[in-house]
Amino acid sequence: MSVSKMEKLTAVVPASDADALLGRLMRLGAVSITRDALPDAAKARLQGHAPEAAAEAARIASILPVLAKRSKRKKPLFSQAVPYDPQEFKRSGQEERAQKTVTEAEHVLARIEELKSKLAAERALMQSLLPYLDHKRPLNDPGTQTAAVWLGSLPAGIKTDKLRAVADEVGFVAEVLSSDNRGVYLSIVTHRDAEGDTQKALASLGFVRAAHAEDEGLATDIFDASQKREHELEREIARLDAGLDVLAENLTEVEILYDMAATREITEKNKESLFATKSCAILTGWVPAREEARVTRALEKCGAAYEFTPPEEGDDVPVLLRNNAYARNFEWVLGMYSYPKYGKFDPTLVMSIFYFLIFGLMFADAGYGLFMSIICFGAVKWLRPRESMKRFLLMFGCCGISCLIFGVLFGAYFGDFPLAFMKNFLKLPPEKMPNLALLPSAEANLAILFDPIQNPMGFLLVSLGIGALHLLGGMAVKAYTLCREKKVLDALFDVGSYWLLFGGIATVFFKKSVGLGLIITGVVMILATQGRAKKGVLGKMIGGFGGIYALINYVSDLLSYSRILALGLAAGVIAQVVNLLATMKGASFIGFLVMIVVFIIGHLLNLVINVLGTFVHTARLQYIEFFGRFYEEGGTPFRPMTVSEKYSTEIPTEDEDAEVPTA
Amino acid sequence: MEIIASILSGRNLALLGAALAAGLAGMGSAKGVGMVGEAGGGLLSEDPSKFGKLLILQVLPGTQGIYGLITAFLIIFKIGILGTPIDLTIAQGAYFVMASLPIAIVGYFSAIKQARVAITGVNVLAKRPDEVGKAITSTVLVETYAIFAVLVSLLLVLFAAV
Repeated sequence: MSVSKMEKLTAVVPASDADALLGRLMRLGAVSITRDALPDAAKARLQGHAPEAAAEAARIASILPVLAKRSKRKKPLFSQAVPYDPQEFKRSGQEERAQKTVTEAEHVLARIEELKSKLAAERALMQSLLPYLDHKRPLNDPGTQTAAVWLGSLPAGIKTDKLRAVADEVGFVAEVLSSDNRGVYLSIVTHRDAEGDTQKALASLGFVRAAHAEDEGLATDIFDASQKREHELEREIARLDAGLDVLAENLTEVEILYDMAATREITEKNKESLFATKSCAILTGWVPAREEARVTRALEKCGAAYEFTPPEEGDDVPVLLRNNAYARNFEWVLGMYSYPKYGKFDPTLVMSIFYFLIFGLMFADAGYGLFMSIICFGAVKWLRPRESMKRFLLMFGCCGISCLIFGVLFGAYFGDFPLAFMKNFLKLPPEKMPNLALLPSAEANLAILFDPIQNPMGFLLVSLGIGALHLLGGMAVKAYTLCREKKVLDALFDVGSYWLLFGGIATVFFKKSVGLGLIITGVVMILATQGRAKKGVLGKMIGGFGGIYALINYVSDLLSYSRILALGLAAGVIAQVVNLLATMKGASFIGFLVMIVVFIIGHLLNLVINVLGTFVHTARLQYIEFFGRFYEEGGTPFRPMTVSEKYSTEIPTEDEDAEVPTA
Repeated sequence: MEIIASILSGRNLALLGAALAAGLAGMGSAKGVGMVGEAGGGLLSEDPSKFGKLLILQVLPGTQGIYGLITAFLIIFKIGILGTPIDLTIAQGAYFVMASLPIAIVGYFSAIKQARVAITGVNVLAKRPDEVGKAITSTVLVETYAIFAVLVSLLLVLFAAV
């Protein structure tokens, strides 16, 4: 539960060893490079080949989806990294095969593209010939000495009478070959002397000459030839496509190749952010203090000159959180808001405890909780997801346990399913229904404490109670951090005074005089101290009253926890509806089938809706109500440079002295 | 007049309350979810991998509809429509209409307002995907008032004297 101490690393190596150094450090995953500060000795950045490396990685990346689509490899639910040994990958010829696969796939894809455009052209040709297939003369019919023959179309919907009338008047013959919703297709025969008039008359009707009027031969012949070519093209494309299927068998190797190329790209980019002197490369970066030994070993191996220095005032030190196996699963929830500033308090542990409590209370249902935990923990155990996915699942698994506990306390097992089953399926009379609650209840229930739907006010009090605890916890953290910074008086003024006041309000109910005394002391302390940072008497007074006014914030923050009740009721009532629908058919075989189907669909839906709602609202209570009390946020997360592990991970070489592959 | 008199019963008024709660809040949510969906479509066409986070932003204005639905269900439970219907006086029926108003009105408007914040969240997701958690949080802030409204509606229905 703390922010890791960081050290600033400055390392100098001969420029030619920069690749090796970066390779080692990236594989350690413990150093983040700073790109801003320019050491005195350096003038410029090191030259790298980032654009070329990026282009190569992009080239492989563009092939991957094509192969992935065709691969018969089983797809896991969560992406998993394939372990590989870089040296072995090279030696066994796998790398060469992967390279070849990419080149070949690229070639095949380009060829398919080319054939597809040819195919489209053939299809367009056939489409345009379709209306003229009945024309039994060559398309480029030259006509006779006295007669000209044209092919073409008029807009759709033209009246044949009108065409006849025009034809008779000008003196040409129009034969309708075919028509569709785009036009009427004609062959026109006219005397050479009347060609001009015919053209004019036809133009006024909207006549357009056929696109293939200059092609030789009969329309049917051209069409058939085109169709033959179409089939050939289709066959060729199918053949090439099948070739891709074969190439897809090498998918895993190409994925590894991608990671290697991506790693090289990262290396080159990192290299370009190093500084160069005449012959040396200078690296500056941040290292977690506890990784110093490992980083030192790597630096020694590269023969680098180096020094570790503590961060100075004004440095933007990246933040790495360090938490126990439980709390670290909640770090990403913190990350969604903001990391703490370097050297400040890491609230992950405290937050994770409250998160656990509030999540469970908001979604108190033993059935849903157990189901969530089994799914999440099971997925972690059997599907072996990556670290970030694993933490995500573990967090929801833990929250499931919390739901289970609160579900038992408040008697919800998939809503009121056991009760609905007993009532509608087994037809138990009301007096035989269970009524377990410690608090007296008129209706049947399975709760140990009480049923929130039967006693919403009781549940509201529990919600506000945990809210009060949450807020007081936030203030306690503030007091703790102030004391840690040796500002005990500030802690007394800013937290102690309010606590006196709150304590007084609570005590009034038991012993009026003591309570009132505490309240007055608290109020006086707030009035006297909240303006202490302000200048002038007036400023101090206004500050004091501001401190009193801030109490309104506490009240509104506290009321905000009533959402625990609202969301809890939401989940409970929907579950009740599902159960009612599920058991309505009564005890019969059909009724049983209906129950199973409605139960599964209804409760899955309710679970999904409510997990999302509970997740965001619990997070909100942390971000706004809890963090508002104390949190000093704004740290940049520590992102060490690493190798690309999108699809694969390198098996670390056991021999530390072995040459690190430079991609 | 006779028609009106025959329609105007305590139970029908209570059903009107249920209809208002589910109807208006549902309309607001449908509109809100639709607005965010439209805004997200452009982003998805460029980067389909952001679907998961976009989905969260899109379903947020959908909760008001659920709150309306729950209120409607509770009213239906309370007046026994699904089991043995109980007789209500006109005044008792009107009580349920009143009880449904908070979530009906606040649900409708807050869903749309929340959708507008969610749309700015879509922009955040497009430009600075790392910061989308903050955008989600500020979208959730709007929902507080729908939650308060549904709380009032639910408590009124649960404590109805019938």
